[in-house]
Amino acid sequence: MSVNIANWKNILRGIRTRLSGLPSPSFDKLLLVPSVVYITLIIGAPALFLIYLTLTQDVFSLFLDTRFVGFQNIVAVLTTGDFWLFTGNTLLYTAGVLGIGIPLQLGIALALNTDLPYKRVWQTLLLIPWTIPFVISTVMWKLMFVPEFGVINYLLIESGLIEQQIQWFSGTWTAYFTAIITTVWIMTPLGTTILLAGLASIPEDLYEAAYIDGAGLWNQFRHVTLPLLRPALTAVLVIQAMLTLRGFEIIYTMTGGGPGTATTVIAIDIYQEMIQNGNAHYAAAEGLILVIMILIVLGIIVKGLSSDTELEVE
Amino acid sequence: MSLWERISQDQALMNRLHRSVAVVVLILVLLWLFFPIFWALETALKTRAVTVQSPPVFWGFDVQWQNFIQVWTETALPTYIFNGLLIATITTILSLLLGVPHAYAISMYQSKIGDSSLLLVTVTRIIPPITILVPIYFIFSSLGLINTKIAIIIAQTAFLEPFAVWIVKGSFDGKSSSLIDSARTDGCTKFQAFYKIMIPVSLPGIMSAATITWLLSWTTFLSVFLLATGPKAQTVPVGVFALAQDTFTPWNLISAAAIIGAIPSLVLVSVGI
Repeated sequence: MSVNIANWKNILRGIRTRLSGLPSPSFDKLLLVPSVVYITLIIGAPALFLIYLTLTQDVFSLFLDTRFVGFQNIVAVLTTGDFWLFTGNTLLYTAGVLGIGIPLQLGIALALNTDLPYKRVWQTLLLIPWTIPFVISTVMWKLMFVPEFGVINYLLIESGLIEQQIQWFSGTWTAYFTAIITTVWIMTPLGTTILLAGLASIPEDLYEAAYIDGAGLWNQFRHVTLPLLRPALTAVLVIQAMLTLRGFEIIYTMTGGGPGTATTVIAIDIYQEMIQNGNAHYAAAEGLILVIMILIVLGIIVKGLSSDTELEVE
Repeated sequence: MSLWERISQDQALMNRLHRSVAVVVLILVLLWLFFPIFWALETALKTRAVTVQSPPVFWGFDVQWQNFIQVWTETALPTYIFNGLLIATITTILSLLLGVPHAYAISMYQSKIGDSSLLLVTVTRIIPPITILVPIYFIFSSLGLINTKIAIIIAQTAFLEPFAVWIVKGSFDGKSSSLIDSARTDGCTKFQAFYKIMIPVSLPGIMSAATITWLLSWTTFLSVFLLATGPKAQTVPVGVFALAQDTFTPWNLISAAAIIGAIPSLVLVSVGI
């Protein structure tokens, strides 16, 4: 036993002298290494496996015997009619959330952009709903949307807007409405907070200058607020587009993808293909397509915002 | 009246108008944001029969505090909460242990590897979790890691650590590297300058990264939903989801679970911000 340990010590000493001959890595590289190795191992390696799954097909049983099939899985996804339905659903959900949410958050931020007392208190209160787990917020909204005894149908009937109870989860559009409204509610605190911070960074004298030049409220908004708010607005749009394009839990908790497959978004379909149908290769290909789709939409948003509202100097 | 007087008078009027509009909007927004929470709290305090009454009962019902005790003793909620606290805390510690040195290296030293590692960090934020969870699910299955807390901690750390790098980097970016130089002149090693000087002066940023990482882990649904199949490793969001999916669970108990599940976030935000 003692011989063994002495042996080990000799080997270690040998390794150490070999290593000391090499240039020692610099301090900052040493700080980087653990994090980079970890990300590469836990995200990078699975990413490679994802590509492998996309390009192969099982011959007999799962993974034991696979063969290379090229883009066959991707073609299979793209030629499945349902995939385009789910893509449409995903884009509709995203468009609904952004289309209702962003103007609302911008409006709230503009209204609140003045020196109100107790700023710290109400800004904290404003942020609270965002910190509740999305699923829990969705369950709270689902309780209010229950057709038979939910408080939303009650309030709508009492205020005379509808005559009889709406079966929220039975119709395609009403099911979308429940998911979109809940998502907007969840996103509003963070969106408003970012936009308020953006508004606060616009110097007051720019408005005064615009006012003296005869700009009314609309022109002040169009030529001062909007261009200078562009970074904050881009951030809000990108964050919310990313969260809805990859969205799973809000819509899955609210509608379960139904009625039928009417609100099944791509993320839900990936989950169902992977877990319920055990179709790893199809799910992998669909996941890869989702990444590309997200990159395209984010590209459009960033590009559109950078060219659309240039600061106009006359 | 001079032009300037008129302008400042107009501005003062506008400001007063804006303030009253702001107060109204603030009240309406807070009502809208807090009504669902208030309604869940009310439902959690009703008897089962009152929850399904139509028209809904707003006040004057018998308050049932025992609903909270019932959901605590009759469901796996305490296990979900314990799992969630444990997973969020370890994930946060790991993310900071890995992420703070990484952020420091990028922020204080310029190098090619540093720049490309920043790209790596950004890319991991853009890939949707559902996509990367497909291969992770099958890798973890073959390693027998499904339904373990370790698997969830490993996955969540990978998703959240890049986020921590971003926040902490922002905090280091605001500090002058001359602090390091002075520490070095006074005889600190590079490592001592890092953990004795730079970490303490950047502590507010590191703490907010810790708060956000903890919150994001505590609220994470998808990775737990996929990698945990039973209460052994499931956390609060998945637990509440399971309760709500089960048609036999009455709404007052679902609401009680939802309220309990929301409390840690509320506490952390009120303390942290």
